[in-house]
Amino acid sequence: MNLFLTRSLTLFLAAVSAFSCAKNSVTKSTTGAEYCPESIPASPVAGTTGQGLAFELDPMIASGNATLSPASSLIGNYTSSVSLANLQGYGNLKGTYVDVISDKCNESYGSYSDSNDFRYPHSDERFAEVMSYYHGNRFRSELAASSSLLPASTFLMIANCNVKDNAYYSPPYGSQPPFLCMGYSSTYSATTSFSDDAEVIYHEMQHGVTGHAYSMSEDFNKLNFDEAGTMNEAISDFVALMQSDAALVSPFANTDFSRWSLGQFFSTNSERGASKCPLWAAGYSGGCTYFNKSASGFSSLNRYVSFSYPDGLGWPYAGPATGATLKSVYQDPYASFEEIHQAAPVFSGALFDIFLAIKASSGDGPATKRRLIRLVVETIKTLPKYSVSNPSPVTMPLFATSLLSVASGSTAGTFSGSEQTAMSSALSARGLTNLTSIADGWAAKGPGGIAVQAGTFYYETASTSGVRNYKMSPGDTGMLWFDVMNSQSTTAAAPLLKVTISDSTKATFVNNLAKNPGYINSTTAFVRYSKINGSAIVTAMNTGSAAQQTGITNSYFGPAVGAGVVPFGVNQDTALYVSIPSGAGTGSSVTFTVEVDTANKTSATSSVTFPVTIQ
Amino acid sequence: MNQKLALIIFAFAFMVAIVAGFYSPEREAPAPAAAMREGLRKTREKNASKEAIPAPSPHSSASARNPASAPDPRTSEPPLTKKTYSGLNEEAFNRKYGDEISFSRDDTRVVRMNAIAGRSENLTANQRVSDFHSANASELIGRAREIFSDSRALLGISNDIQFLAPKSTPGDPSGHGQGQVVFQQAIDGVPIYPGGLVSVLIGPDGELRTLDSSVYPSIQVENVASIAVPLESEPVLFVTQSAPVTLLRRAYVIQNRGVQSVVDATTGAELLKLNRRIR
Repeated sequence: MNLFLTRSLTLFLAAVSAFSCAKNSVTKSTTGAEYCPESIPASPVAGTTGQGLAFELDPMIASGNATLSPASSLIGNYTSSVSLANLQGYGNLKGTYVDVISDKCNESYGSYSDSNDFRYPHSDERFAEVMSYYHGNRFRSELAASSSLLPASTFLMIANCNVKDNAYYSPPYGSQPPFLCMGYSSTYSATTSFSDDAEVIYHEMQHGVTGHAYSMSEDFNKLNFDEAGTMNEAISDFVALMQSDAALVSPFANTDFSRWSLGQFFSTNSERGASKCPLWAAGYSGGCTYFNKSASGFSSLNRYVSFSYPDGLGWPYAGPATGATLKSVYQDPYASFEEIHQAAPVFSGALFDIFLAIKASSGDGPATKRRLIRLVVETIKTLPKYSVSNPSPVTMPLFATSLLSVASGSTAGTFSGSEQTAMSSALSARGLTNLTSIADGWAAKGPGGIAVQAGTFYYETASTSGVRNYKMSPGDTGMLWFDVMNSQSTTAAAPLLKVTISDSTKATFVNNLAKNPGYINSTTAFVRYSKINGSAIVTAMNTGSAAQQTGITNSYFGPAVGAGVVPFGVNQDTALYVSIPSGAGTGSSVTFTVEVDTANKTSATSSVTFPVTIQ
Repeated sequence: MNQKLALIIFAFAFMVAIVAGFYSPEREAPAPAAAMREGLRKTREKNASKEAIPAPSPHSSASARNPASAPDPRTSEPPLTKKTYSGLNEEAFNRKYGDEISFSRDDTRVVRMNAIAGRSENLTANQRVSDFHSANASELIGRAREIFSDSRALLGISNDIQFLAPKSTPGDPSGHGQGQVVFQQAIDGVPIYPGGLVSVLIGPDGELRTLDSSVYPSIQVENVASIAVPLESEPVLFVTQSAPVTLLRRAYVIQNRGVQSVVDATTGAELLKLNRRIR
């Protein structure tokens, strides 16, 4: 029995429900009040407004202390009295916009007060429920004011969600509703949780908006590293930054996302944001004055990184120590350059630049926020969907041009000519429009070919001989990477590879969408790489001394950097899984043809062939 | 229409269709053939257990003024095995819904229609629906049905392909927003998954903004359901191969806390385990 599904469905279908909690007895909280009530009144017992305690965004903002530790025993001192609006009056935290339950109460209601008094100290588990309700309701109220309340029904949130070091949005399927899960910190479980960070609540909630705006029936994220996935993260970061903008004063930068949980809960600072350059690179504190979308905005000698498209994709926003060389960051085996969260700052930065420009010209931050939420939502609706010929059709440049197009009409409200010019300038400055085209025929086989080094055909199941010899042998199943090289000076943006196998008796793609999300049939599959560097950025990133040169090359799977380290980009998410039939003859050959489409192609896709001998 | 009449029309249409070689891509079909296709369509529609052809919107008379039918782009199949298609050809479609609509194709089928976003100011009377409200679900679905019906031939969706009742996300109450309607391809009420969707985005004046299709034109079901239906599951026809022929297996989808499992309805084997959580 899937308890959660039953519970959540019940919650949604019974607008006025008196359902039983799975717990056998009422729990007493730290304040001795009733907790996890066994039943909820069948009719309202309280009004639509309540009282609670919550952080203004997060403990650091609330305290004004930029060095406050999640381990601090003082965190609870920084809560504020807040009004809880839009309650339905059943004595729990079920409201018009959000409906908060807790894993502490077996996926049911925790907090209960027939006077809507939810003022729990931070040390009480129910504080996380109140924090979720307060900021969830606050954000969805803004969505409603922006004419962008998606989904329209009340939104399920699980506070004290039983997931470690994470928070997530779960999209709906069939009759199962969407929900948010706000997890806990394994390092600071006694003192804080992800619910203490309002920006994370906004971020996860925006995923629900983005998903619903795009399609009721199709995920926005497609392939593992597609740009839709990155934009999904970027849009959530951007909206969270706008939502918190008004509350931020020095020393806190309004461009930094999740300074509390992403910034503090992990051994490495994992903050993201909208600045024009990374926190650890040169010039951050000075405003990233060298920022440029061209190669001049990058330098291994000067430690320049510009968050611009496409060359600035993938550099970590935070984490490395201030003063770290670009080489050390690039060659970190855990750098995760293509990961969709890490690649987000370019796009979230461009959107935030638009916000700042229009806010400055209008003098009205809250109104600008609402107008841009609506613009983004109406733009998302227009984006193309999956098809067999293009399973990953959304790219950042496509979104940027669509945004300008929607802004020029009246669907998302009216934007003046100067505001549209500001948008256009911001997007262009970040490289998302007016891209430099890459000449047709730019792609060639890289020096690694189909096997960048011994080890790039990684056996998931060993060959019949049981030896992982990194060769394709009859009976093997493994992963393949195609080292595509760029012969031009311009970087190939958002390369989408369509790979076809010449002979299905020699090799076939593994029919599993979890492994091959771009699977079409046994001889055709798609995969997305992040970008393939042109010579201009390669040169810029190899200036200075040997200790400074990054080693970046113009082929996607650059050489291994250090003994025992796999080449850049070689991981499960960039792989295509291939099986070699047991009847494939040793010594016979099969050809993989790779057609590469890009967001900045001149007119045609480029094609590269990779012949392989079965060994 | 009673069954006898439907059968007579079906037989007559079938014979004439063979003689005429169904449609020609070079010329628009004459009106009588269109009427026969309509008879075929209605017969099949009656036989389908689920919704097949969306009905035109009552808000627009444009369809009556543009009764053109689409040529069948497929000429390689033997006539006797050809499927029937209804709807407008590209020219007629543009005439009705706007010249600015562009078409992206997968081989011969249109997979995306894209009008210029924000074009409301330039709509002709023909392209807008008077007194339309995108926030009204029934109006939105009605208009989407009309657009879908007119686009079936362009999308390569034969008349025998079934769809579930459409789902809609109406535009916001301000009246300026866009509303979306999704038609889900199905067989006897069981949805095909993933894909098999026609998504129609409609503007505040009832104008077509975008249309995307991932419908599988040629499908083949490989198994029958025999295992006990898992608790909390939804039946699907799971796509194990997208093209050229789409292979489907009867299966059940179970989603628990964002992790989706697709279980084969014959063998009980897990066909897919997918983490759909978005962090």
